[in-house]
Amino acid sequence: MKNINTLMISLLLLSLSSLCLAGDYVLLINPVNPAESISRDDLTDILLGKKTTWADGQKIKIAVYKKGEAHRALLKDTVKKSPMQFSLYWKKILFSGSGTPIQIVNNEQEMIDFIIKNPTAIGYIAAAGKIEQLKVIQVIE
Amino acid sequence: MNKKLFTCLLLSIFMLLTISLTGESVSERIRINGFLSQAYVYSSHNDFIPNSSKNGSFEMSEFGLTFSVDITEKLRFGCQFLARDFGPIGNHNVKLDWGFADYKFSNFLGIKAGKIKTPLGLYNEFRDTDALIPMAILPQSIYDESMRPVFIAYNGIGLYGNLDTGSVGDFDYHLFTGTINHPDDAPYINQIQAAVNQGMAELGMSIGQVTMDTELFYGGKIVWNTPLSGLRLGGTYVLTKSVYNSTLYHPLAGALPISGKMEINKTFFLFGELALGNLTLTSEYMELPVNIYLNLFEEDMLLSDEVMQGWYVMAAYTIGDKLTLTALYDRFYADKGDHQGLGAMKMGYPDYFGWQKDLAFGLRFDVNFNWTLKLEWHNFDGLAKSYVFVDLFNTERKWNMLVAKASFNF
Repeated sequence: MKNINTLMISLLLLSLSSLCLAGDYVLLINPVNPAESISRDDLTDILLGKKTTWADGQKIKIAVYKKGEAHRALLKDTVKKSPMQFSLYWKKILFSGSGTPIQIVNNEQEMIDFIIKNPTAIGYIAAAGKIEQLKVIQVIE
Repeated sequence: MNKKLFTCLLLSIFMLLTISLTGESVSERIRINGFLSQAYVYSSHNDFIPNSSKNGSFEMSEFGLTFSVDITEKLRFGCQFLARDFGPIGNHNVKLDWGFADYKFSNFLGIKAGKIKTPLGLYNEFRDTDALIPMAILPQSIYDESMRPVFIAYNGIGLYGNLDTGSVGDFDYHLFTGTINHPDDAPYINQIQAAVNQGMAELGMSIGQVTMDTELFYGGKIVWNTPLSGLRLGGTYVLTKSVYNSTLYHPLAGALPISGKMEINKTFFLFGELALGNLTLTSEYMELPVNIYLNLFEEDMLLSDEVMQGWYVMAAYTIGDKLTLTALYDRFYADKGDHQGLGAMKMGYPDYFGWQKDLAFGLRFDVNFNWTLKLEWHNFDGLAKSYVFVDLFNTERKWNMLVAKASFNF
């Protein structure tokens, strides 16, 4: 019985830690954007440059970090690429002329400023970061 | 004024003008990126580039500078200048690699006009940016120097987009038409000259410098991003017809103008890529029919009728985020119907000029997001693709090559 309890507790801790890892970023948009949620597939397509407009036809502006835990968690959750692979993916688009390079920001403050400045922007910060002035958008399946 | 300088100036004025009209600062709108790379090549017996079989050679490098600007939400402009050195080819002369205006109506339809990279296979559009290709020397069956001018870029119009079909996955497409530039030193132009001269030698005639112009160039690429995670499949189809002109030197009649045509019909490239975690498998297959005609007395005389055939499989396994091990097996035949090299022997060359096989292993180390180092070893059998710089009277069927390359991008 003791072994079963230990196993149950271990499984519970394991599932909690998985939830924490999956939730290591918070998606943010400008408060004027009416969107309340976004599907994981759409978020993936936005990150890959395949989806470029919101439902109302406005151009999506996205910024990403070069590295960091929030960035790694988002990429793992969506495009299934490491930060290095994701960077190379966008360099292929850039150097082949297939598209404009994705906006890179250096820290969370730059990300927040970017979203405040652009009404159609989407970005993310670490789960523990500040989210005042911005609107949180949920990722749905 | 120098034509290249004029082009650069014109592009710069256009970009600055469009930005000033939108009222935003230049620094906010223009993105400037670039790359540079330098290789060292050492080969045994045969020269991959001049002198690579003696002391090795550093004559393999690239430098590119890219400008891109979003003029409006749907209209953007970009250009890339490229200077490359590959033995005697390029010599770091700056050329417009691509430069075009792009209007995107929606995710599924956009139009480009200008000089555009030909969307051929998996790597053609960024083959000169070392960080973006898995090995320093791409599979020669598909990405060698001999046909590069035909396939590197076109001047014309392209339609492109992404069609999302839901559960079936999505499709990227790019349809194109226009013209291509044939540089005077393109290897196939020298081949035409050699083929005509060989046919005329018995009659005591020869031809001079060949110049070539495109009559027709069109094709398309489609990529199916399958619902299976990491799997994409695709193909490119290209058709082109070019005419060439030269001067025939006749012992009695003197110099006479002559012409002919080169047709590359029904060329196709099929490719697939499977990314499974840290392992990426890629493969491509190509058939490239080339017909060369000489026009004599209003009649087209067939000089050459070959279907080039090539394929490769490549594996790349990444350890951590920085180190990648690569392996390649590559095969090419100068003529699909002649795997024994009989055609090469007819021309007076050894049979191994009819094929080329490459077994290669490499290491790639991404030092950081900007620096990449590569080291690789190639074991070749045959010379059907790497004949351009060899001493034709002193070749070896089996040869090896070591390549070290460093590249930087920003």
